[in-house]
Amino acid sequence: MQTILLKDLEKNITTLKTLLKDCDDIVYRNIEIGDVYRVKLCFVFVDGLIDKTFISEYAIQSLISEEEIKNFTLQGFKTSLIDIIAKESLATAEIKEEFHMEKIINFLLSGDTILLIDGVDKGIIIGSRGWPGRGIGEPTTETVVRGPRDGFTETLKFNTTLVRRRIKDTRLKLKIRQIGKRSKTDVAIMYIEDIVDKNLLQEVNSRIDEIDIDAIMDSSILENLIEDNYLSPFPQIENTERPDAVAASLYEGRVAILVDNSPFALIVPATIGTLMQSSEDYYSRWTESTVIRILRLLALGLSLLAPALYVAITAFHPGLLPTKLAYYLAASRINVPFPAVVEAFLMEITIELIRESGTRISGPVGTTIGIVGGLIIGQAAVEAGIVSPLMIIIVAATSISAFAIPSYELSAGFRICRFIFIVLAAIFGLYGIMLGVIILGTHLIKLDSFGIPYTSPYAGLGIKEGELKDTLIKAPVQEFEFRPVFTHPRNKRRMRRR
Amino acid sequence: MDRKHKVSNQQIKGLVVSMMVGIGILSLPSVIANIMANDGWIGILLGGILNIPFIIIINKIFQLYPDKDFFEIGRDVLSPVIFNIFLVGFLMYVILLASYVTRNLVEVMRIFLLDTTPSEIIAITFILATSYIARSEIDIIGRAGYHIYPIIIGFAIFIIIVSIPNADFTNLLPVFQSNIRLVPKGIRVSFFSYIGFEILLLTIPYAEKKEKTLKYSLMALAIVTLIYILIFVMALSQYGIHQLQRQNWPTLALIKEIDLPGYFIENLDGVVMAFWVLVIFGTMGPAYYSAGKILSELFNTKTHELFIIPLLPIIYIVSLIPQNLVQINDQMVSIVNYFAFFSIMIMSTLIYIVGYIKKRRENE
Repeated sequence: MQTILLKDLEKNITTLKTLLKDCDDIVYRNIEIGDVYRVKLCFVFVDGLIDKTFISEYAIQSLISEEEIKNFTLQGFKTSLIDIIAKESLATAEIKEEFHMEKIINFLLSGDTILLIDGVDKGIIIGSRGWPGRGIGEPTTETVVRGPRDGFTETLKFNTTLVRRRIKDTRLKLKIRQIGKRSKTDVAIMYIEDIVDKNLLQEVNSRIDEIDIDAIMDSSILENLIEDNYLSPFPQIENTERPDAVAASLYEGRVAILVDNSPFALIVPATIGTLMQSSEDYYSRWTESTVIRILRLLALGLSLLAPALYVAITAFHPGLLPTKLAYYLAASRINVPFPAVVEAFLMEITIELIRESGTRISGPVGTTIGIVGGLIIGQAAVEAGIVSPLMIIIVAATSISAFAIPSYELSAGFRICRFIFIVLAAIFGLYGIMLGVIILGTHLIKLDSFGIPYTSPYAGLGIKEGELKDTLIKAPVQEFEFRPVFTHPRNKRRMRRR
Repeated sequence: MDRKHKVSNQQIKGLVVSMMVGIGILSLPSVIANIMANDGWIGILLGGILNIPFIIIINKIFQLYPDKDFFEIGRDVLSPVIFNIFLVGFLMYVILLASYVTRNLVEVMRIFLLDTTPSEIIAITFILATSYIARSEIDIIGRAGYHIYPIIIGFAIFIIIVSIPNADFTNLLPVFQSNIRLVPKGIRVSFFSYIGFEILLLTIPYAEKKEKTLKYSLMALAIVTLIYILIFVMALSQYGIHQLQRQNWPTLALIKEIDLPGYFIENLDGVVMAFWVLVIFGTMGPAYYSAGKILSELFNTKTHELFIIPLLPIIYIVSLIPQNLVQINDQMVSIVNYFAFFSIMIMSTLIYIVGYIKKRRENE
């Protein structure tokens, strides 16, 4: 259904009012201009979505007091009335002309003001978007000791600006499109034209084209819709609140997707290597970043395997431990009435509950939960003899390790796997853990992120010596002469050394 | 042929190494020591050298027909009927190899980690876990090989380093004392510890740079030869010839000996055994995949995925046929070796010779 605007203002307003029936937040402001020959105009906007002072001062005011319009009398002049208003009278920055009713309504609901003129079959769209938004604050999920502290907000325009400020290059491209039949959410695709791989960009666009959904609430929904394997527990798209991380990824030849109403930008492709990095790695000295990256890998292993190893060793292979430790272990478990696997599940579920309730409830109640959970449950459980103290240590170490992984989603994926590993260890011991490693490893190897192997650059497809400078170790900046190869950048050189 | 999947030369190197190294790394030192005594390393070296021509031949086949995959070449060159007979042999070989590998894993697991778990359960869980990767395409198999490759290298280096403190290198002497007539017999054993490079037949058509594949596959062979020789030398220097000859798995025994003070873990053999599961997975995965691929070729289906689950009970049953370790290490090994020789060596040589003659005729 494509309704085209008519010349009659009254009819246009009636059509608008029938389409927007029972929408009480739409405001119609009628004015009349001209001295001898009066012309009726009507401003239509959504209350609250627009900057009202801006429209009053620079659109309504300037029209009413406009000399030319007042003096304008000739009937024949009427055809170019829209030009006069648009070019000479309106003192606003953004102006468009539109004659489809649907598109006009679309702009109206996005926060633009519509100016309808009697006798003209076009509407003028005045860019007036302005709504109360959160100011730019420090990102809450990815804090750094050293480095920029601005984070994305819920408004797309602010977010793209924050990225644009870091890439003052004509080749930074920004394509905005709307997704969601009802929500009409603005989605911006950003890339640097001469670096990004054309196939990657095409893949991103074609996947977004395929989406047919009524609403997108957050970038995470878009993420689920376009990722390669939506059943996998692991994220195949990186998300970040940090504009500097987005800019850095664009320079690596990746594509960023920013979604309106979401402070999280998506970056594709993502690999297990990039998900294990934090922006801070690039801002602190290379020695520290390297040590921290190795530590993170250790944390990954611990968070996945520690409870399973405990179960396997206590239940199947106590002989693997040194004699003293084996005795200590046996002594500490002597009063525990459960097998190790029940003990592990009990404590893991408790800690998951503490974590979950702590996340949902913040502030003073959250602290109470921490104290109740950490101190009382841990201490009391040991004293009551339900779990062994070693188990408490292992569970604590495991959950701390899980939080040391920069990507929350990745860490969550491994957390789910941890429970499966405990079960496997309880049935088959160390052999069961290795079976789990085989299945998990196969899954990770099979995963792709937009055609890029998830385990890049370790996957060995196009591996170069230079690739490894930014993986487990992080070389000094001077070493990064070339962009990483796994994204297939077209422009490879990053810097020249003197 | 489907060009969507790509394998890099680095991945081919990793894949060949991970496919070759498997059971051999555990048992070869004592097997070869029983035949050639102190000169076992000569047998290992010669066995490696003798495999070079076959690797070259496999590479040459794909240089003759650069645009076709192995099955297309075979059908064109040998006529479908003869080629299908060879394919059935090849299929038997990979199924036997997978079963042999599985059975060995079961035996080792039962001795070192799970003494009370029934063999059947260990076998079926391992085959099930491997079936996941066998369902994927060649690019994934390549990636898997590349990921297992560092594990194997690390495994070998670890064994060598930890056994240095206890090594007594005078045990290596005397050299060049064994009977020259025993050399062919030794080579026969060591020659087949290198089988596994037949995965090249399925991989090379998808290689990114075919002209360099030969270099990388020979490099893989060299790496495996080096690992085998070093482990033989370490085992021999540790035990001396008489004790080595009596070990079933001298490599594992090497690890058992280690007892460095201040270790968090006292008995390393359990942990090393756990890692060895991954090494075996590196042999089992590609073998299982090849079996699926060959079946899909024989039955002319689009994907090989649907044959993976039906193959599971076959591998399982075959793996449980041998009654004891002696049957596994004597009869099962020789059957695997016969099929390997028939399907890899004879088939690829035949394809190359006939293909070469056909090409020359076409050119004239």
